[in-house]
This record gives sequence, C-alpha cells and structure tokens, in this order.
Amino acid sequence: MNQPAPLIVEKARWKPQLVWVVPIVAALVGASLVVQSWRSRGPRIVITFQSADGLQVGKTLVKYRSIAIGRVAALALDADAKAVEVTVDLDRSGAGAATEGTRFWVQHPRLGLEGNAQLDSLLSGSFIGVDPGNTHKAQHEFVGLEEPPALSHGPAGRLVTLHADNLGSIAPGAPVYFRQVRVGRVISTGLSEDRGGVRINAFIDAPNDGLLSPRSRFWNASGIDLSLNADGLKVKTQSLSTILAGGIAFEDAPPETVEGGSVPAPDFTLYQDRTSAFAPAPGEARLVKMRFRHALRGLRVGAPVEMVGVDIGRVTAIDLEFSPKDESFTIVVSAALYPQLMGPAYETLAAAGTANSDDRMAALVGRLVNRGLRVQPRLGSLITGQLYLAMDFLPSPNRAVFDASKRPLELPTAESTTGELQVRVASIAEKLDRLPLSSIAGHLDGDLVTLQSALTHLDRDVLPPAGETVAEARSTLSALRSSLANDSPFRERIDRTLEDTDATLAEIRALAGYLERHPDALLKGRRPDSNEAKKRP
Amino acid sequence: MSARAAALGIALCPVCGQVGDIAMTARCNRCGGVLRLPNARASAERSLAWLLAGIILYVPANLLPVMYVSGIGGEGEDTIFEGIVEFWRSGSIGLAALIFCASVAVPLTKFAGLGILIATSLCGTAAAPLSRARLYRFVEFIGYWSMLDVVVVALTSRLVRFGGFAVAEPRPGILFFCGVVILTMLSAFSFDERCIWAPEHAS
Repeated sequence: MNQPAPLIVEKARWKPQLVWVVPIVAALVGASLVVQSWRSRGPRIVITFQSADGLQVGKTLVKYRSIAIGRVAALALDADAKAVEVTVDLDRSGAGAATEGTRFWVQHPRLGLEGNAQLDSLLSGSFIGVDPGNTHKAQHEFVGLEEPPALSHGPAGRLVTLHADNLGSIAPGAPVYFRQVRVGRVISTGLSEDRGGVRINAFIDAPNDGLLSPRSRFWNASGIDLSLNADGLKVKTQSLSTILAGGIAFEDAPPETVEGGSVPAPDFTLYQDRTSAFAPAPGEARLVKMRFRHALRGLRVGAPVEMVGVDIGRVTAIDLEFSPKDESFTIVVSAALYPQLMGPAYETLAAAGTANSDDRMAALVGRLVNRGLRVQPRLGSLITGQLYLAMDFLPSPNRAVFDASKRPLELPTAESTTGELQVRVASIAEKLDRLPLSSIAGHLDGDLVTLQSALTHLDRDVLPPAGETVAEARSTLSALRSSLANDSPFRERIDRTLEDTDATLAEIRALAGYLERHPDALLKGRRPDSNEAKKRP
Repeated sequence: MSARAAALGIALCPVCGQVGDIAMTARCNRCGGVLRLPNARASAERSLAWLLAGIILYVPANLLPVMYVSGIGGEGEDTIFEGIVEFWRSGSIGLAALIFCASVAVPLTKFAGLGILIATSLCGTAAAPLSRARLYRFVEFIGYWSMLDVVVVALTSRLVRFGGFAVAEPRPGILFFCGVVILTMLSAFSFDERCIWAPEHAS
C-alpha cells in the first residue's frame, strides 16, 4: 500500500522534460521568421498618381522586370483630394528603387496584337512598373507617371524620332521591321511641337540599332501595298500583324543618295510607303503659276506636272480669277516644281550655276518659252478623265508673253489637247446630226417592205414549179441512164452500127490505098492482082 | 470517496486496458505495455509544452500567407484572416463562417480549454471535476475540425490549376497552421485525463 508513495514523490520533483524542446524549437522558428521579415523589409515610399484605378491594397505588386519588389500598403487621397497617394512597401531587394530619378507608373492590362508583353497583367490585374533611377540618393516620395515611360533605363538600343504627316494605324507597341525582321517597337506617339504633323518615338533594340545609318529610310508598313502596273499586280506586306495593327519598316537607301555624316541623326522622316521612301529627294521646290482661259475639269490638286514626260512637280492650287477689265474668268493653277527630279539634266544646270539663281533660271525658262515651251493640260486617263500638266515644246506654239521678272514665274500655256479633241468630237457629232437619218431610215424601211414582198412572191410562185422541173429532169436523167445501160437494145444497136461503120471505113481505107498505087484504076477499073488479092481479108 | 486505483497500486495498461498491479510489474501482463500511475504534474507539464509550442506557431500561421491565388482579376497571397474577410465581402458568408470556426474559433477554444485543464491540473485543485472532464472531451472532439483549413488549402492547390489562367498554391502559413493543429492534438493527447479525478496531493 505504501510502496507507490516513494515513486510519486520522486516524480514530483520538477525536472525538465524532453518535450520542452518542442516549444523552444517553435519559438526559435517564430523568432527567425520575425527576423527574416524584418530583414527583408525595405523602405516605405509614397507615390502620387492621378487615379488609383486598378490598384488594390495588399494585392497590387510593384514589379521591376516582372519581378515583384514591393506591394501596395495603403491608398489614400492627398490633402486637396486631387491625386491619390499610394503607399508602397518595398522589399529589401527593391530598396534600389527608392532613389532619386526612379519613375513609377501603373501598368494596366493592354491587349494588342503585339502587346503580349502585358499579357500577364491581363490575367493578374494592374501592377506598378518601376524604372529605377541611376542615382544612389535616397528618396521616399515620388510622382508617378500616368503613361508608361517611353524608354526605361534598362535595355540597350537607340531611340529614334520619326516625323510624319499623320499617324495612320501606328500605335505604341507597333513593331519596327528591318528586312521584315522585327528589330524594335514604337514607344510613343504624339503631335509635333509645332503641330505640323506627328512625332513617333521608336526604339531599336541592341544590337540591331547598329543597322541605323544616315541612309536609313523609314516608311509606314501598315496595311497592304497593292500596285497594278504593266508588270502586273504586286502585293507587298511586312507581316500579318502589320496589316492589322500597323508597323514601321526601315531599310538603307542606295549609297549614292547619302548626304551628311556617318552618325545617324535621331530624327527621320516617316514616308507613306516604300516607294516614296526610296524616291530621290525632291530637293528645293520652285513655285510657278499658269493661267488658263478654258475649263480644266479633271485637273486636281496633286496632279503631276511633267517636263517632256518626266514627273517633276505637283499642282498645289487651282483658283478662279475674275478680271473686271474684260469681264473674263481665268483659271490660275499653282504648281510646285522640283528641278532636282530632272536628274542628270538638273546636275548640268547646277554645274552651270543656273539652278541656284532664280534670275538665271527665269532667263533660261524665257529662252525655252521662245523655243516653244508651253504648259498644256493633257488627258492622263480616258476612263477617269484626269488631267495632268505637260511642259512640252509645241511645234506651232501660240504667241506667248513671258515676264522673267515675275515671282512666282508665270509659264505660258497652250490649249488643252482635250479641248481639241472635244471640238473634233463635237464637229463629228454635228455632221452626224446633219445626216437625213430619218428619211434614210424611211426609204430603207420602204425598200425592206418591197424586198419582203419580192421574197414572198419568189417563195410562193417561183419555187414550186422549179421543184417540179427538177423532178422531171431527175426522171429524164434516170431514163437516159437506163437506156445507156450495158444490156439495153439501144446500146447493142449502137455497138453494131459502130462495128459496121468500122468495117466500112476499113474498106474505104483499102480503096484509098489501091487508088494511090493505081490511079489509073479510076479509068480502067480494077486489075486483078494476086498480091492485092491475097492481102484482102 | 471511493478508493483510488493509484492508492491500491494498480493501473490500466494504456495499450490494451488490462488492469495490472504496478507494484508487481512495470509492464502489462498481457501486451507488455508500460504501466504508469497517473502523474498529474508530468502530464500537465508535457501538455503545457505542446500547447505553448502550438500557441507560438499560431502567430506565424496567422501572419504568413496560407495560399497564393492568381487568376483573372488579380493575384495575391492571403493570410487566413484576409481570406475570411474576402469571403465575407464577396458574399460567401457561410464559407467565411466555416473557415472562421475552423481556423480561429476552434484553435482558440482549444488553447483556452487546454490552458484551463493544465492550469487546474498544475494547481492540483479538485474542483468541478465533472465539468473539466466534459471540457476535455469537448477539446478532443473539436480537435479534428481544425484540420479543415489544411485540407481546404491542399485540395484547392491541387484542383485549381488551369495553366496560366488560375493557379492556387500553398504558402508557408499553412504549414505553421498544420503544426498548430498537430501540436494542440499532441497537447490534448499528453494530458492525462485521469488527473482530473486524482489530484496529486490527494493521494
């Protein structure tokens, strides 16, 4: 009974049990977690945005190169409720982002044909993008960008600015191609500072930025380039996505067209298409005016001006003027001429110094006018009726007054060939009109009626007897054929008659021979002759 | 009061339930299990150690995210409490209540219940033994349900896996939570309920 007591007393003395290791280990683990989280905690920063659209406390991440380096800790309006202050807890690894010059922006999901870079944000929502600054000076309050920056500090490459008249279908993210290989992308688009066009910033990634040169020509590669000419139908595209989403392509122009140094300028012109990108530089434009006294239907602004068949300019304006003196209307056509487009001819002119001086050029034009140079509207297409202006030497020009001192130069004009054509067509029409068509038609009609009755008569009265005659002739012929058959008595009689005739003729021949030898027989009568008698059949 | 088994020097074999005379043999005659007299202090102490470990782990289990969910409309890691709030806000009140019960109410009840049992046992009080026995059974009963959270996370992370569209992954918090559940169960298991009836100094 008393035996268990010492046992219990012995156990009652407190001694640490092994199980106490467990809470100690748990405490150590907990402490290490606390230390770790404290150590990984980076600075807390405040970013000001216009709106907290898409941001969630505790959820929205701050990402640098797709790696989360922080998390939104709080959202609040600023003091005057005009912006949103986003408090962000950065990780220790993201501490470098809390420096001066760092840019933050909210990256919203964007779905585009080429925008697959943001596909993750489509699924996971918006995040705050970071572009760390280059300095080491700490900063804790930032003003966020409303748009992703054109260019982050990170990737190597080269930024180019393209100038164009209009944007077309080019949007940020649109690809830039070099020989149909994707080498960059459009970063931002906007109006030019002078509002004279649009400005497109594109980034060419390294190492492809080495492809840029002063000779690089950029053109809008959007859509399909269809051209129909004497060679047939040509379709040119860069890639399927450019057809839908737009894109830019660039290539080097041939070396002889180079001007300037070897360092590529950051500014390029974006041409409408490949053809215009590689067209020779038009050079300086010279404005000219032309006066026409007849209608110029079919001439449009932009119509070509051709110098003996070579395209050297464009019509820039067509105005109607009224002169009160003789109360007449005049069409004044302004055109921009690019003498450089004449190529070698221009070079010759330039070498002579003519191209550089307006006065000398005017003098040259004056001499050419004296030799018959006129501007003549001509029909470019019979189907569309489009006119173009042709500067050509006419064989018998009308008298022209040329004032070499006038600016812009006023070129003498000639009547449109289309006008002449119209006059001729009109005179032909008039002659046609004068023809007594109705009486001709009346006579013709009467003649046709007579012809009709004659034919009816022929059909009714002449043709049936003719048929009978033919039948009779046929029966006569068959009777003749039967009478001439081998076994007919008629034939037999003829045969016999012919045989008799034959024999008679033989007799006559013998008689003739005898008389030849014995002419006297006529008188003396026939002598008996043995030889002759023998020969007789 | 009736005579106590300890006073008679006999004890139940913890394995097969055979009554053995502890004075004669330290092991069970039938199955060889070690016979022990109820030791209130030692069992309470062991239980306390497990319980403390569980309470310590309960802190990171609640502070660390238990699950990472990424899907259309957002990605993020949720701690248990954030998950409950989210379910509540999105209208799944029942689900929020269930998870709240399984991951907050049940563990806290267990801590409290075991704490009371251990404290009373260490104090050696003989007060309200029937209530304490009921409390013990209750703690054991609700113990199973704490694993609900762990099972939810394990199932979700296996089932929700639609390529890039929706992914659910477990995060360290759930490990700690699992640890809490195991430690509290061990704590309840180490607690010798016989001590409720046999305070040490009463013998």
